[in-house]
Amino acid sequence: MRPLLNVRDLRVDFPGGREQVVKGISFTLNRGECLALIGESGCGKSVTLRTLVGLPGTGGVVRAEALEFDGADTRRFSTAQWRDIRGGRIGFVLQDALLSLDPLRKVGEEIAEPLRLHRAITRPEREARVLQLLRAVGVPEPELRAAQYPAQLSGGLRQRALIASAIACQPELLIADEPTTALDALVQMQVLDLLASLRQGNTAMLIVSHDLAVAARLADRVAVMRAGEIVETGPTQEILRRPQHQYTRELLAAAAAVHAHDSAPSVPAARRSTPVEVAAIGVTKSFASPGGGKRLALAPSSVTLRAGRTLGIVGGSGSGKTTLTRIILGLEKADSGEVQFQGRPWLALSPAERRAARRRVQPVFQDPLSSFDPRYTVEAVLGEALDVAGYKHGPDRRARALELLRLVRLDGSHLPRRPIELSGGQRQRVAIARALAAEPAVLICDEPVSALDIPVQAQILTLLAELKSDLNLACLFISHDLGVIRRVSDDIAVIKDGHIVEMGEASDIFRAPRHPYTQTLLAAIPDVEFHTDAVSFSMENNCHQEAGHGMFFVN
Amino acid sequence: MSGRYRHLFWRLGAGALVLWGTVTLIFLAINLTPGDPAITLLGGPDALPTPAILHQVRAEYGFDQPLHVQYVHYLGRLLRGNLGISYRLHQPVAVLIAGQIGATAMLAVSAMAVGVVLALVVALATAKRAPWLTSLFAGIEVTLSSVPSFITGLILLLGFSFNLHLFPSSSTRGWTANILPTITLALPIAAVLAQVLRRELEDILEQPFILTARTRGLSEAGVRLGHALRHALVPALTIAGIMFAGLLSSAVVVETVFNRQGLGRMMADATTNRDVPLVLGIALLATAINILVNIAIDLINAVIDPRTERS
Amino acid sequence: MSQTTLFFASLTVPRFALRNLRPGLTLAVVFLLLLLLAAAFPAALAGTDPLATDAHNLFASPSAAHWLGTDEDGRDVWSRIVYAARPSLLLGTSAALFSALAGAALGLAAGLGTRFADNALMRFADMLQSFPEILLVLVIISFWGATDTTLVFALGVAGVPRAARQVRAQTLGLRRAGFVEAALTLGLPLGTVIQRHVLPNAIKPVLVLLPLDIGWKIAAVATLSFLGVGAPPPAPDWGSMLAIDRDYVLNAWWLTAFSAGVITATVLAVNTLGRELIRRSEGRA
Repeated sequence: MRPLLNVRDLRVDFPGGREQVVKGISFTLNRGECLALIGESGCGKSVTLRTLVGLPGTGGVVRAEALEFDGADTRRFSTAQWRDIRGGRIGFVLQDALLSLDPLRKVGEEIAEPLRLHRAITRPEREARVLQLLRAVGVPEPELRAAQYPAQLSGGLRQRALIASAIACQPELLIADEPTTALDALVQMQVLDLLASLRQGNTAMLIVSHDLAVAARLADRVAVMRAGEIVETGPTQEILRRPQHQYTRELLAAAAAVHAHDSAPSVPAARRSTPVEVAAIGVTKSFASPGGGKRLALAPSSVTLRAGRTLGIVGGSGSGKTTLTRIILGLEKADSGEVQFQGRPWLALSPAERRAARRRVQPVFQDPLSSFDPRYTVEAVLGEALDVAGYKHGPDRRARALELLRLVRLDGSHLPRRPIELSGGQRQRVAIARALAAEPAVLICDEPVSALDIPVQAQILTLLAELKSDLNLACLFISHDLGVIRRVSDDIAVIKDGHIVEMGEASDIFRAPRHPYTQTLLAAIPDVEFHTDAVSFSMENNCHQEAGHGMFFVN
Repeated sequence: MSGRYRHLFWRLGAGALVLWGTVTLIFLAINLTPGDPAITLLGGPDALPTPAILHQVRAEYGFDQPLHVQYVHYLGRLLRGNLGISYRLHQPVAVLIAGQIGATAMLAVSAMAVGVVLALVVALATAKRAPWLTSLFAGIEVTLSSVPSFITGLILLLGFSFNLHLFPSSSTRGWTANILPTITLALPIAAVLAQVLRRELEDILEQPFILTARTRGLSEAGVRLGHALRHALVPALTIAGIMFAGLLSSAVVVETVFNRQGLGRMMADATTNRDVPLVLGIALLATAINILVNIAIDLINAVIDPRTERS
Repeated sequence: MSQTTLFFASLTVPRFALRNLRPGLTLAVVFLLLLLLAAAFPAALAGTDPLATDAHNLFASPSAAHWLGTDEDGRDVWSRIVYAARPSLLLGTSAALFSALAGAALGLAAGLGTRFADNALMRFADMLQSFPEILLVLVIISFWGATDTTLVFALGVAGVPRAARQVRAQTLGLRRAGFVEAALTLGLPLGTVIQRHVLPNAIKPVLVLLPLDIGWKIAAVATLSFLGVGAPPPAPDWGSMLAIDRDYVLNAWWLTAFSAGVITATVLAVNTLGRELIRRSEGRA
């Protein structure tokens, strides 16, 4: 039985811009098999996938000893032959359906397109098939959804619709490029379940991700990619239990670190009764709704942040967690309730005192690039914060800047550079350095690692934990991913639709979650145990039910 | 649906507000210019108005009355379609405009149509193709959009009309006489639009959803026409609508160069002759048309891209 | 070509520098330097008096004595062109600066102010913008005459709505920008944050488009003169040199060709420079 895909010594370069992106990789894929390509951003995995359908990108030069789909040599394919295969025999799912579906076309039209191109069926038949497909991927009310535009669907439904369009013609091979990134943790699980169910139809799958958990859930075999080369390949369980290559081990360690199993954070926390730095008491906030009327973003909520401890706030998109942090940071005004800093309400201070105190509560945002003035270099960014902290001139200032960079594991060579030239992880470090430059007592981190690759996530999380401990900071950490929260938090608050539904010490909550929503979130965490030289991986997921409203549990 | 009608009323209301504001501004300008407003209306002291005409103007506009009374009468006259009298040409402004508007309107509309179609074709064909092709067209377009229209007109006139005797150089008779002026007006529009469209298309063609369409097996032409075009239409129409105002301005120049009768020519002459009521009448009309055209564009955009409605 | 095209000018610049434009850029810079020289020291470039008529030498074709020939009154065309550089450049630049400054002020006020202020200011901008530009200029001129001041004011006012809209859009976006919020959390006073972060970033589009606007304004000045509405004769002026009788156009081609050429070259050169500036600024953003 010849393999569905046969790739030998594939090389792709872009002579105009970057150098060789794919440097001679080889793999095969049999019918009905699932292969996962795992690697960090920039390792060439996406280019590889696109080359398999003949779309390496502008200026891409493809060379290979063998590049065959079902025995046919695709190196010599004409455009017409490619058009035949794309969509018809190979389905492609891109990351982030919000960007990958035409926003100006209805969902139904997008799904019908491959049918229109490859199947000679009438329009009513096409429409019926579209509804069938939507049902198959688990989209409720398919008639309604097919007539809507992508922006009107939630992230999870959109991704399902995208998958529906890829499988419309029942392709022999389904290629998915980061199919679950950009989705909330819960939704990620659901999409992975969907993909797993598709395997039953003997569809071969090629998945690319930076998260080993995805591979573990879906793949028969794993190929680890790094800097354009495949460093290790083998059956999934083998790779997970007995990784041979150093890089594979690093990836596993990072995945384990981020999807942490043990409930105690690696760095021990301060005692429960340390002084309260910031307290939000009964704060509420409503926003004007576009259709008129008001929407309650935050019901009366109270949280306390203590020195040396991290409060993790976990909830989905639109749950109100960001609103709460913006109120604490003073960027939004609460409709009612108050915020206290070191025991004194903000509003009781004079404006001058308030301004002086503001720097003691510093943010770290999800997208660091937008938090830097586009005209500023790293030095200028740090300089602004140093000014406020009292380092106006002279050698002291430069010394302090270097010290801050050292704290975040960067060095002086980064000072004259612009943030846009740095990598995602480096930018976040600069953002943290700036926050530290203001000599804060409290650090507010809003999804600081969600946009980063898993390995980099692990590094930043470790950094934050160490800084918190060394500098005795009070931390607030927001995420949609309970696994990440578990890694960093001492205390946890679970928030849903503007209400805090459960709050308490992390270990208590993880041992015995009370609220259904918390239990659902907990179930969505992949279970990874990392031992000294082996990793075992198992998945528990039964997150089908929606949690109820109006319940509140304090441990 | 009601949302859409509400939106339409809102826009019409805003447009009426703007028109009213313009009218008021003009009223204030006439009355607040130092000196006798009657003399201002007649074109300033250099225009040497005769006492008889001054008397006539004062009687018609009632400058001896208090300002707010004048204003009410002024608005009333405008609402009845009375745009005043041209004291140089001795005819009501409205009549003068009605006589010339046909020729100019036809010119403007055909120029706009030619410009948009030309731009669409060029942009769709040349976006993301070989760099030398893009350079070539970009160079042509930059030149065309930089050259003042009266120079383009003169060149076309000299080239095609005088030297090659291909098209008649003046008179408005026969459709062949319209070709050169239409092209002169259309070229700058097409040039700018093509540049904008091409760049928009190049951005659009990089988007992930275009890649998705390709992975489904859609051909290059299918991708451009079926997906990219719709996205490029919104900025294209918006710009075209805004450039409509410029069309009316350019008509002034083109009609002068090609010696055609039309509103533009009348406007130029009126300015030289300091015939204020006529100048104001044409300007007001142009403003009203401009507002209407832009509202229409907004509505069309809302149909093409539902996202713009919500913002 | 108008203010509205300027609004979208940054959309017309292709992202990648085209190799062809390199020699174009050098040519543009050289030409502009020559132009500046002509504006500053016209006597150095043109020996003859631009106003000196010579009844014996009407419509002379280009020769060694008169490089570009003479016009209908026997005046030297070359020197008229050179001497016309200064008023064209001055008028164009002043009008462009007026648009930029007034427009930026309006836009900042609208973007930073209350919703009411924003609405009021933008309705006012709408009013100005509804007037087709040349028509607006013509209206102002018909009221107040065609002196240098009124020309600058009229042309400048025509460009205010465009600049105001751009600055307002930037300002509104900047109000919620991450780095503005970050600066606020450092405890900096609102005024400092506005001055240090909002202002420089908000006026960027206006600064970037300034050269292009100058180009357009120079073309507009020439157009107005052509229509007979600009500076009165016998002052040397590029546009009015083109507004001669059609019969002369055929027989004395040098009258139209050179002034048309210099207008076109000026606008092209300024535009090329302006587009390069746009391309550079985007690389940085």
